[in-house]
Amino acid sequence: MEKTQKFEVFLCGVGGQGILSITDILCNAAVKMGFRVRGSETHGMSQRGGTVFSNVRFGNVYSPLCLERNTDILLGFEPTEALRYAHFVKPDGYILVNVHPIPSPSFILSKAIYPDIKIVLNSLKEYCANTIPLNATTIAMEMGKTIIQNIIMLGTLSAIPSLPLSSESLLEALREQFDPKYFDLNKEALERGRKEFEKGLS
Amino acid sequence: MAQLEVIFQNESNKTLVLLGNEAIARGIIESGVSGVFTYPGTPSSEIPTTLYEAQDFLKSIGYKLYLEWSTNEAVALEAAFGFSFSGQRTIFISKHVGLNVAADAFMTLVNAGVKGGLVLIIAEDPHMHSSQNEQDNRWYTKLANVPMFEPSSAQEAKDMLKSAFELSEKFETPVILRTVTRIAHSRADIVLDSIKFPEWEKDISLEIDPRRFVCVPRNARMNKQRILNLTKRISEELESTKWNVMETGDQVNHIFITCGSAYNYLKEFLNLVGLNPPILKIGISHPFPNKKIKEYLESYPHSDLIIVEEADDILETFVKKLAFEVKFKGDIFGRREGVTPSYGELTTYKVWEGLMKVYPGIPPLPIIPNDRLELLINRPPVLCPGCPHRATFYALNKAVSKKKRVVSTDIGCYTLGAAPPLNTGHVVICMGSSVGIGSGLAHIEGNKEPIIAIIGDSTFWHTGLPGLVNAVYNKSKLLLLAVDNSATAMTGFQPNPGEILSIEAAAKGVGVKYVATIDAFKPKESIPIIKEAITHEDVSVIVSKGECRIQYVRREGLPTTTFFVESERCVGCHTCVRLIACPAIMWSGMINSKGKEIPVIDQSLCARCGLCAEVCPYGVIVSKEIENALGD
Repeated sequence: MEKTQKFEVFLCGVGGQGILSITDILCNAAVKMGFRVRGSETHGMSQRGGTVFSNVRFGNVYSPLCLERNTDILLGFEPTEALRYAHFVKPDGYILVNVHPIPSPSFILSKAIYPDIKIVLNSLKEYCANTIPLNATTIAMEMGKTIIQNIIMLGTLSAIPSLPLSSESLLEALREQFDPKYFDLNKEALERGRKEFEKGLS
Repeated sequence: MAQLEVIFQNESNKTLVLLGNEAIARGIIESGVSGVFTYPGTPSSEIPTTLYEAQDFLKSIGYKLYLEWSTNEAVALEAAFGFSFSGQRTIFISKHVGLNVAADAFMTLVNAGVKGGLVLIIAEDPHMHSSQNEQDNRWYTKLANVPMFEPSSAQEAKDMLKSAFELSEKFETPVILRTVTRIAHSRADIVLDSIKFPEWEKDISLEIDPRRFVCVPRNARMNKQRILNLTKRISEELESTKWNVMETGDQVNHIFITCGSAYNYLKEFLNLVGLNPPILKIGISHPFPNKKIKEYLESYPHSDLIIVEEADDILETFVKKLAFEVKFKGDIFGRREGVTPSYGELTTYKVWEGLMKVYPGIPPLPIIPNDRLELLINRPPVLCPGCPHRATFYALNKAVSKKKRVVSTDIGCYTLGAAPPLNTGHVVICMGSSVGIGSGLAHIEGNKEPIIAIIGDSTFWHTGLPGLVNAVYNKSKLLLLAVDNSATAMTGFQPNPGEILSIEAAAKGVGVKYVATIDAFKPKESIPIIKEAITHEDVSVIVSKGECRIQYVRREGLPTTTFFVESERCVGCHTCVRLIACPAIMWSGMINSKGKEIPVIDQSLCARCGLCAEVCPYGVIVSKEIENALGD
């Protein structure tokens, strides 16, 4: 990436999905590669079961917040949350979306029906043709730990050809993020996620 | 978040990715601060929390730090002021409204000044992500005449702290460092400077001049003159400060003045569209940099001026006044001209939108389609699965009809109970206000409905106690329901006086006659106690104890017994969904023989508190050992 260029990822989902850990890993990998980093995220009251988002920007950047229709990758951990922030991604960018739905209590209370995932995906494609669905939650459960859904998402993201972060720097940042005893599982989850990208393209 | 031994490593010139508040915590240690006095509040909380968690590590490297979780911001500032008589560098930290709580102490101590460096870090929350109001504390600098540093980034915030202390010590004045959410909760690459270890003398003889520090009228008049003279001297000192930065540019039709976080959105936008005009970034906003701005305006006599700032139009007001005085010929565009919105958080998009109105030739805004809105689902913050407040409020709702009561609630996680279906709040304005408002409501004669005030443990000790004393003294007929979760949970689990003090003992001590304790997770036992409490003719206090589930699970792990809906027996009455709305209870998609949809408990979200089993009128929510249940 040229000095005058920038790259940005917008992450979103529901509190407790491990979005801030992925934010950490992406920021640390970017600094390892010598990029200037700016980001910002949700803390405090809005974190309690509410919608959560995080901005990761690096290169020639000043603002800690992504600009609408200018973000390279939208990493959606929940389908309707991806849709809520879909206007941030640029039309020729990528949307990676975990299709496992999490309804909210007020939504359950209203007895409304969670929208059909196909309709949500079609709507996402209106914003960005390169929309790649995967079920990170199911894959994580198959691997024995729901919590690693975020690493699977990171793996899928790492396969995007335009991402200016090397797999070495991402792996190093991943290694530093968690207890060493989880590294093998995390590495496996990362690899598993990468494969989802190829599947998604075909 | 970075690890503590990494944040506080004794190295310089290393680059780390840090949260803004972690960077500021690092800056406190790089400045050699000895005393930290604070009450947690978003978006400031991670500064003291990072230092608090690092206390043992700092001690191990020989750094002596006194950190105090004060009971409220007024006490925190008073204590910080007292501590600063040591001559050691002292820090006060709060969120923007915290300075309101401390305002009485603040307004007068600015006039009297300090003997040791005292910096107030005040974190504002534009757009009110986690706040009850949006307030621009820069006005306080005009009111009190106190210098203010306004960083535009986390790196600047860290580095400005050192300058702030130098200024504070040189002029014996408190100084404010103002941050906002997008600095506090930003992430950036931060270059470390070396740690400065505080030096303590073995014997300190405190020299406190009563003629200056006993603020009786005669001395106060002298202090008023002191602050007026001081402001002039500080202005002169700051004329050459490096924190008011002029960036030259090659497109001079329009020149810019900006400050704080707004600088980033402006730069981002100008970069994006390839413009390079001159920019003056104001880093120290009070005393107002008259000379610097005058020079800037005079160097571009044929330009128009654009002012870009977040929150109130304070910079603009004073720049326009100065421009009038120096007879600046160009047009001036700011808030009044629609460059920035008058509330909320700035973004690059909003700056773009604003500049479209005043800067010719700017490319059109990105078009945002809005066709997805009907598919979005409402997702407000909610009480967590397993929250003791949900259980307490369920008992309250069973004991006192939601339709026949007035509830004055307070600030904390339990404020979220005000939403349906719990509906435990008609009014809340500020920390500790539940009892005071409740007292006032209690003296409205024609009102026949019971008055219930709800307060958390940390908030009770913060400013609830004086309200309770008032309610006892003025014989207010109300029930104070203290929801004690043994944590200051909303801001991230900081300690509070509830660790060693008892709300029941305090209530009895100030003369409350009816004081009871209930177990939040045993609502059936609590219902008659609540029913009785509201019959008393004066103030009664019930303390509902139930530990914050997040804190409990972090320490003890999840219980091995979990809860399931026996779908074949569920009649589909939906009582569980309607009465407690736990985030772990969802629709299963299954329909029973009567055509009713059956709820299911999402085991990945359930915190295994068992409230739903208490609530189910048909006993079809049952407990099972998780091992036995896995096959189901």
